[in-house]
Amino acid sequence: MQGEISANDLDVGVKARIVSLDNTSITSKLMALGVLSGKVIEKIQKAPFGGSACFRLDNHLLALRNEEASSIRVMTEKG
Amino acid sequence: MMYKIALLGNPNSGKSSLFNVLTGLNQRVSNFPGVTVEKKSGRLKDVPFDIELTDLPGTYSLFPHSTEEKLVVDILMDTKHVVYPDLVLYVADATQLERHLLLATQVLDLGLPMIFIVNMIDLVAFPPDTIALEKFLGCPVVSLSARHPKTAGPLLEMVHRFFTVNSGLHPIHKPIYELPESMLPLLYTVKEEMKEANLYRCKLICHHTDWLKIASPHKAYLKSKMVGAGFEDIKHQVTEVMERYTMITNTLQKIYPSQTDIQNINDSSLKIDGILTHKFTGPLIFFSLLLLIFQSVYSLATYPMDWIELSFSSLNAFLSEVLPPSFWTSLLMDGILAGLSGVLVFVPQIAILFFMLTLLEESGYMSRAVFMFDRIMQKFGMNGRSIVSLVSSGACAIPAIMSTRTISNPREKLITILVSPLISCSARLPVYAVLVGFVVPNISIFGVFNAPGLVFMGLYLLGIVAALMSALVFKKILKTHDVSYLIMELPQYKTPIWKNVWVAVQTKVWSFISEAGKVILLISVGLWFLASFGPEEKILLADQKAEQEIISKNLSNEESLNLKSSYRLEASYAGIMGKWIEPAIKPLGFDWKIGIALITSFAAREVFVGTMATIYSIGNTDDTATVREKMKAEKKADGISQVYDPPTALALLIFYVFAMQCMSTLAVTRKETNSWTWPIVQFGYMSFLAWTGAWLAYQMASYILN
Repeated sequence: MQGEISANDLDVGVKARIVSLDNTSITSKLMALGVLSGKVIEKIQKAPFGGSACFRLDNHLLALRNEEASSIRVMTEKG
Repeated sequence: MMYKIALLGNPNSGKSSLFNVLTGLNQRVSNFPGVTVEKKSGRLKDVPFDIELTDLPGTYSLFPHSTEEKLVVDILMDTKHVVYPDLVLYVADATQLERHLLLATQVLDLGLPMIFIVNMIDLVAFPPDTIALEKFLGCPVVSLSARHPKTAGPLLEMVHRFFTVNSGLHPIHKPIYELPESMLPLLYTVKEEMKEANLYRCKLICHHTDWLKIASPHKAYLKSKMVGAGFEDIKHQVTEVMERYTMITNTLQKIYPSQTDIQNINDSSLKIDGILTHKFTGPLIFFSLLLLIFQSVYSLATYPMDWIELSFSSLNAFLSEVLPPSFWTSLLMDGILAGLSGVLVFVPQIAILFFMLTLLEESGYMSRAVFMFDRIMQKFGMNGRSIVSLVSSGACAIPAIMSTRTISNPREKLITILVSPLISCSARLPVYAVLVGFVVPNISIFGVFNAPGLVFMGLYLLGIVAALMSALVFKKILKTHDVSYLIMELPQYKTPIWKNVWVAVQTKVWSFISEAGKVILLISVGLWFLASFGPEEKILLADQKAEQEIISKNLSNEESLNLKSSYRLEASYAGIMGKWIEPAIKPLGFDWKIGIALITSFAAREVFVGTMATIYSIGNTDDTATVREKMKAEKKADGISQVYDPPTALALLIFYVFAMQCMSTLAVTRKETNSWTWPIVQFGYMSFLAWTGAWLAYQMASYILN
């Protein structure tokens, strides 16, 4: 998959660059936890019972529900 | 003069470790005024002044998303707050410097003096350029590693210098974040209205008008001005955070370029996660861990518990020999000492359980459990974080309910609070232990399982199922408009720091002894009074009746003493109360003596065993026989059939699984929900479950056995 999608649509193990965040009440929380435009984000794995996934940003791991991940627009890199 | 220092930083920045290093074991745990957020404070050691250090809750930014974060904003915005600091010690993780700088720049812009601490410096190959960082922040910077207490020396010197050289002087600080020009007219209006000195404070007042403590006339005025100026909360939050990050990133690129090296640190965590949060092995390991924890709680705690019980019974035997029989001796032995042993006997279990839970927390595993079970908990109207509360409930509902503070969604928090007490806590254990033997004999099934053990497990499962079912019902009833989310850092796996674990366990145990202990002791004395005294004419009548029976039946000395005391108990206030509720509990197979235990258990379940001891030992000099044996010997009015036959014992067990019998828990619920409605609802639905469950169990068991 290539082009602009949401972080929720990323496949496990795929890296992408964050393009923008939808402005919601939790956006400042996401940003405080390092979800920022320009950063590389990678989906590491899905939760055992679904509903959320673990992402890697720079040098830390973040668990996000699918809804939160959907508010993150990312651009997959070539490959 | 007493100086005040606040320790501030993001969660997982190693703040608590540093707090333990700086204060040693010289610390107190209480609540912040007006809220049930745990406050740890202590005297700073190794400095020549009186400095009180307060550990503020971990915070990501001054745009709060939880009660704890709101509290931090409340404190830092209110210069008259009791813990408003003279100096902020800001703790940042060297491996996460970029993110951890965000809050630091916000707090500096509030005009607070700060020492910026780069923690975990041992984890990075190239430390950041301290002087350049000082220039960027405009405050002193120091590097250390809280895992190696000796590295804290330079920090203490810096604190010392701050209070000797800078004492009382707030440096005039150039703001890091430049406020948008378009917002300035509004901010100056706020400044005028609120008599604020600092414009960034005014901006935060605008963001948080809804919940900051502002007098209502001001509030209305500010709101109208904000509407007029077109102030948009979320948009302005995002803009500010973005601009701060731009500055931070640009600065770090120049002075801390080696950050990419840090990536490797997480690789080992990822490998562990590959197993611990794996689709199949993850949940399997979680439940195995739970089993292991509870197993070790039972098996390890037995020895110290036996030892405590033995000490008390020999103390009692000793006292009854040396002290003359009197009102005070009776109060001391049957009231105070009985209550005290009832409190202390729980300490081993609670200590072991908290030890295990703290290990999971400190190692970084707990947040993985939250991540794994978030989806399932959501189905029951709760949140991944609820799993931590529900697991903690296995020890005690009080810390469990207190741990719901990290749940930001009000409905998920409320449901977790309401159902947590249904999980069998350690206070039910002694009740189960006494009664289980009356339901099934101690035999093994298929040579592997032992029957009482299986009943035990069944009771625990019953509690869990009831909690989840009740949560489903509450999910249907309670409506919400608040957003629910999960945005959670998964910290690297770490070897726990033993000192942190020790301090945490000590704190929890002490708060149990002081909080719950007070109640239990008080109840024990009250119960002693109720069971020892009654209306005078009734007592006289009971004595006469006993006298007549002794003569007519020609009883021995000991037998007549027992008879007398049992008649007296029946005539006491406790007996009267037990008889009064007997009609309500008769369908459950309970008599008025069990009624007494139920009444006293409404204060705290563990009182049950103590009550049984008191009921059956009053007036009885032979104290060595165990409560169980006395209960076994207890006969119904016909003098043949046992009172504690299997159906009655089973009904009583079921009753204790469901019933809300803990005043302390209700008090915590009241505090956490800030309303009387929810403790009443909690008490009501659990009592209903208890009565219905016990009735069904009694009727069914009686039917099957006959």
